[in-house]
Amino acid sequence: MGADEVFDSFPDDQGPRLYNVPVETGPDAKVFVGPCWMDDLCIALSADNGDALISKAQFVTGELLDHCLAHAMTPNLAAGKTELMFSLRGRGARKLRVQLFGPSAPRVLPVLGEYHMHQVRVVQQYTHLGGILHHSGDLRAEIRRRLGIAHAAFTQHRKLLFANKHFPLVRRVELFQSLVLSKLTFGTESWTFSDIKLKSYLHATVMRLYRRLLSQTGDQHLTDDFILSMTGLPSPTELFRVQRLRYLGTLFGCRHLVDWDLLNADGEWVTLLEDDLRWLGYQLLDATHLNPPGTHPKEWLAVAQHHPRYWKRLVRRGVLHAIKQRSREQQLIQFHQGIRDFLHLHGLLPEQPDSFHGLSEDQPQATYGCMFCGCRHKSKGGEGAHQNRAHGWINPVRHLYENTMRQLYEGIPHSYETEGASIALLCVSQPAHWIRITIHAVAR
Amino acid sequence: MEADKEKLHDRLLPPLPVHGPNQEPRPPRDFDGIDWSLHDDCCLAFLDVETEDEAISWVRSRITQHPISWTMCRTTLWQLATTVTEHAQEDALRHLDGSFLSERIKHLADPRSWSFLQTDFERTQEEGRLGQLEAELLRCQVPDDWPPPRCFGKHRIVLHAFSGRRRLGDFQYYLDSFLADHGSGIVVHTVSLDIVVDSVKGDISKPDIRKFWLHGIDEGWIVAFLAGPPCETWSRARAVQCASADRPGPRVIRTADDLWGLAHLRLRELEQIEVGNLLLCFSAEAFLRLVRVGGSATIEHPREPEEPHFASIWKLPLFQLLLLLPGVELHSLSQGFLGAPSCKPTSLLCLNLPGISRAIVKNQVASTMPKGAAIGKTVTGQWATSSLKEYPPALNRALAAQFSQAISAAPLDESVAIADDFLLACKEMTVTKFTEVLGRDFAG
Repeated sequence: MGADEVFDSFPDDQGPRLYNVPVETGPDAKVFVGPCWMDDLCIALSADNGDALISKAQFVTGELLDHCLAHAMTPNLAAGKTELMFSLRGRGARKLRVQLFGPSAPRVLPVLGEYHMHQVRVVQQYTHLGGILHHSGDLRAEIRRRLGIAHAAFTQHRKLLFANKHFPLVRRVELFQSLVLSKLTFGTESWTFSDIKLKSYLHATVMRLYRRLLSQTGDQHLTDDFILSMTGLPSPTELFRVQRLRYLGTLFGCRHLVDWDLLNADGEWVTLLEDDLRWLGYQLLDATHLNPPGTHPKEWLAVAQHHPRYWKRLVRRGVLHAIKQRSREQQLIQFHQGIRDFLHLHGLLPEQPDSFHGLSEDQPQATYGCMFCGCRHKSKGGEGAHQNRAHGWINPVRHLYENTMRQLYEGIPHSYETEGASIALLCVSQPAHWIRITIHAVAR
Repeated sequence: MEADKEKLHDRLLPPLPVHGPNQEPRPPRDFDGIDWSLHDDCCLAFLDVETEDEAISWVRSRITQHPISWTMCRTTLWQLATTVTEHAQEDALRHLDGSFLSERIKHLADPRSWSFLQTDFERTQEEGRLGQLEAELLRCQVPDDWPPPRCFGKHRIVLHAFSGRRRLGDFQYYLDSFLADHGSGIVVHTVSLDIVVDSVKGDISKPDIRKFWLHGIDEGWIVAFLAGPPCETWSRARAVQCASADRPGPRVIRTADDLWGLAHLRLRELEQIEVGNLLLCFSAEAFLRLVRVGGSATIEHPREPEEPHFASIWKLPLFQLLLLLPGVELHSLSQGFLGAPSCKPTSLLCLNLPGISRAIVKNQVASTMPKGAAIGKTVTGQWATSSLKEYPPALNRALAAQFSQAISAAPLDESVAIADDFLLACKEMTVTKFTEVLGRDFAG
């Protein structure tokens, strides 16, 4: 069996295909084996159906292991070392998935070698070069892991560096970029976001990371724009845009080794890159002689290809422009809010007639405090605790528990057999419901 | 069999999952969240009060006199509003507008009505867009008895912001000479607030420094304020292309639609805009605070261009707000009549300087408008507008005459004493030595 029959081959594209602009293609198809780095080998295979794929995987793995043995090398088949991961699609995929990953599945695939049979683990996800590959292409696990690493890095240096008030915020931000953001953004160039929920999750988590840098208490509500303008950091979206745009420059740096067609086949990633270029063009509008990338992508790609330093500078200028424009807007908003508060304080700004419009008793309550002490609390629990400690007030539900509930406690079913659960039940249930329970308790 | 069991246990067991879908989850509630003593006290008080305002202030004061949580207070107020609505037609409450009072009570049940609960709530709203805030400022209404009369101490500070170099015939020169003649027993310190005078206390871009000077105004230590905030980013000269120049001059970075700066700018232009906005905002805020304390002030800036698309600070809602305040007037003049080398149309926003128009006419030194135009560069390579940064002596004389009158006329209150550190800083920034060097336009 020749390499062409085992491995996939792609047309030899000479660059990225953006905005549907055709690219130059070499005469011969290019065989794609897989991403390999030093002694880390990853082989990518595809087939028309699941059974064929499994056979192909068994054949290639067997050949590979035999080659290792022939060269006096013992392959390490332990977990996390040599593993097979199948991404099954199309007809019969469900059945095969049950066969491979079902409750009674052995989770290993027998591979016939020249000397003996090998058992290679079949996994759903695999860590390769510091990134988690999931069989479905889902990046959730990888994103969570990366964010976890960033938060851990922050925690590691928090006391000494990031919460150290002896360093000005500018210096702490610099340290944050080099110690935390570098870990967060490692390998993010290839990330794509399947749904808005994932994107929102990523945004919220990165903003939480930024917020930690400001050392603000948890109950203080800070808008994203405020956090970004205080820290002078790019927004999460901009952060990943910059990564992709820089990566484009890196790809051009080793363009002869890059499988452009494989990248071009990744529609989601190409769409993101097109949007990033559009964003860069918008930020640098009137600041460069380049035409908009949407209509003239070749101009921008030529800069990335032939002027790597200028390309880096352009990307840096683009993100700086976005940061400074946001900071300008935020500065003005804060100033105007201050003026408005001043006018309110001195009775120059009448209460807006419709500002209380639509008030309703059923609106969810988000504010807690003590009217006597004039203090705010984070939660209803905090409010109740303050009332109890400072003013000796006890919630009426506790009196109820002491009297009626003592009898009720013995009679109520198993699922409510704790004090907290009983109180919670009484708080959420309709009066009719708990009266019924009381009757039940008495009847018993 | 199952039916028999069910009959046996009917009404003795809570609903089981097999009986159908769960009920919609209800938010937790307190058994009785109403403070009936507060409720009854308020109801009784409404019988005695004469107006709704009196009723509301009574409720406010009653709430803060006894320990009560915000949660219970809110529920009680809603109950009180319902009670008032139900009994509005009864004779005992006839003297009050029941529906109006009920609405006012509901307003009290909103956290926005309580300053200590506000901070968090206000930030949670995605309010604060610049356009909304600017529109809100224009709703300013000045009560008849505002501002309250204010007195100043023996030592009075005149803050001359962006004063530039000390020179013969400048504002301070004339002010000192007028006040020396007056001999009213007050001591006036003219502070040259400029980064070229003091790089620390004169650097208004620092929040602490701004706070320092604004605090002086609030305390009544600063009696007058004169500022000509940099107009380089507003100048209409930017729209004129110089035919002789080998490289293009500065371009327009603000328009009537984008008064705070265009959305696409070069990084240096953005920095310029940011500094320009900051200095202008400081001037406006100092002016506003002086309105409250009854001081005198002038902000000088180029007159609003006739072309509607050009930017001008007089188009900003912030300055339109200042014009709504008592004692504020906008005057226009041509500095050419006062000795400037070109026409230089200028507007002066004056506070409590009623005779400024007469003083300007009185100090006029030319009967015809000068023909020169300050556009492009001079033969020495300097921007032609640089020479116009300094006011002509006749204008300084007119301003100083008016300021000296206003400062001397302010009543003396011996109890107002300036803090030592503030007075020391002011004395250090009172420049007496004349210099030749002009500061740069954009020190950023």
